[in-house]
Amino acid sequence: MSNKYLEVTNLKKSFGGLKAVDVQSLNLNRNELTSIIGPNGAGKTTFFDLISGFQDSDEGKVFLNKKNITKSQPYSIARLGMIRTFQLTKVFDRMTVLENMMFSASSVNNDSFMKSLIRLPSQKTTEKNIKEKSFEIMKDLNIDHMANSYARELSGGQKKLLELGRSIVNDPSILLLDEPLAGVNPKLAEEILQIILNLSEKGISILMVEHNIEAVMKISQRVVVLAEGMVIADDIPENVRTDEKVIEAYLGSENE
Amino acid sequence: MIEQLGNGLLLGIIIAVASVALSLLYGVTRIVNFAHGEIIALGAIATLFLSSPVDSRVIFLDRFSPLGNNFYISVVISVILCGLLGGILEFFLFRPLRKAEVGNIAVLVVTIGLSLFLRHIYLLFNAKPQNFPLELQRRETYLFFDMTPRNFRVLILGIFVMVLIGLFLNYTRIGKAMRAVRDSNDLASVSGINSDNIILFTWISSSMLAGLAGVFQATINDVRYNMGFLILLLIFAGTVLGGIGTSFGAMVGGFIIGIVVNVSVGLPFMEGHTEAKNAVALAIMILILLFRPQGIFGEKERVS
Repeated sequence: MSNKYLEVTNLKKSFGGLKAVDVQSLNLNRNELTSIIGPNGAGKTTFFDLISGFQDSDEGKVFLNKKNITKSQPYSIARLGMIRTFQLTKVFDRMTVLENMMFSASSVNNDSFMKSLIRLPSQKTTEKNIKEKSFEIMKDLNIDHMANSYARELSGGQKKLLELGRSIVNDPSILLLDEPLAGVNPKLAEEILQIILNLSEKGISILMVEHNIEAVMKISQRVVVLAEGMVIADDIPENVRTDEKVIEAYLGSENE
Repeated sequence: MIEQLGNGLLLGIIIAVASVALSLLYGVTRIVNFAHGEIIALGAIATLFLSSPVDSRVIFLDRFSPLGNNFYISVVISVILCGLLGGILEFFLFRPLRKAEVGNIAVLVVTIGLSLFLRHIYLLFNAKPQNFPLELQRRETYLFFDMTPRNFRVLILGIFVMVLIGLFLNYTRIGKAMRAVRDSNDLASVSGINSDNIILFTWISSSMLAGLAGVFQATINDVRYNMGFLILLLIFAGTVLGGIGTSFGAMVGGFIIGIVVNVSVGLPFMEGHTEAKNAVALAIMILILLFRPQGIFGEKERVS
């Protein structure tokens, strides 16, 4: 059995004349923690949008566990177990923290319209299980004391934690994390890194976009470097650190 | 004063039902729907058309014959028709506009155009104010209020409908999904929600509620081609007063507006100027917004 879980081939996207993404080939192995780095405007978030269905690619194919998801809608990709987060943290503002967790947990499995209108006894036990599980995760993330607060009342860091929490409540097989450390204090960043490592050890494949190079080098098993939409390096952290092209790309972007 | 309060309760409940429908639609789709009034009018006009006696010459001039159905069956069919119109509008007009990423202001102008278009279609059929084919009733006393049994039923039914909406939004999964899409479409998508379906459902249910509000309004007053347009401003006022995007706020805001409009008729300085009653309600809305810009039940959001 091949170990490739996410396969991207020849993926292209342009905005007007600007080539945002032009990825020849990028594979993510099962249970691997891979990070994507690159200068600003390298196409990292657009790449995420393309593989998670938020934007349509101009060309190319994306396979998740051998299934073609190239033109799939975001909700159906989520139902396949690939869950993403957003650079600008998103939470359901007018729901409580617990409701946020439980909503994300229950909506993926059940899509029948009629089932959503009536509540069967069997759903009650499911709901109880979901609630217990949500609390477990919130406890791990240290936001359980906020369970009944509205999500809009959380601080930026707490929202980041909630976003992580709701993305794992459904036992995803692969997580796409878009800058999980952006805007959080160093102590919380350490905590979030540890959480990500724990998730990875639990067997979740993780693809992460992150600007904090030190953090990336520390926890990633593999680092992919994007510049001007193209993959210029794809290797273990030690090798990427000393790669000529990578250094050039970063210095080049600073000069602009 | 008591009499005006009774009328106020009636208008309040109608505005409240229409406001919560408008607010739901705005919350989920971000569309400020000026054609809401025309969907309200459709509910009343369709009911009139379906229920008027076949041999009557009241309706639709000489273009169409009324159908003479049972009144309640006519109401049900009309409300379903309104839902159908809402669904068609979403499917063939607003969904394509959304996919083409047309801006909010442009969509707002589209709804204004739609409103004008529909209103003038109604005008082709039905220019004169007409009444539902219901027998006249004597007023009776309920608690302190004198009203006809029929109007009292409208009041009770209106309250019932609003309780149902509240239960629906809070306890059913699809209600929760509507709240989720309202808060963040993207996040709802990554939670596995097909937001297109939720938006379609919102259009249908909002339009059905609007149609019902139209039937209520025509029961209390009469059927006019522009009846929805006439109360649209009050509905907007109710929605804004309660706090944009909150369903409970829209109910309360709409209720307050309806009561103020009618009670203001009894104020001393209003004698002989009853036509200005809407002005009092809108002035009160402006006053409240000066002190509570987010509306009565709107929440201030954390900026960062």
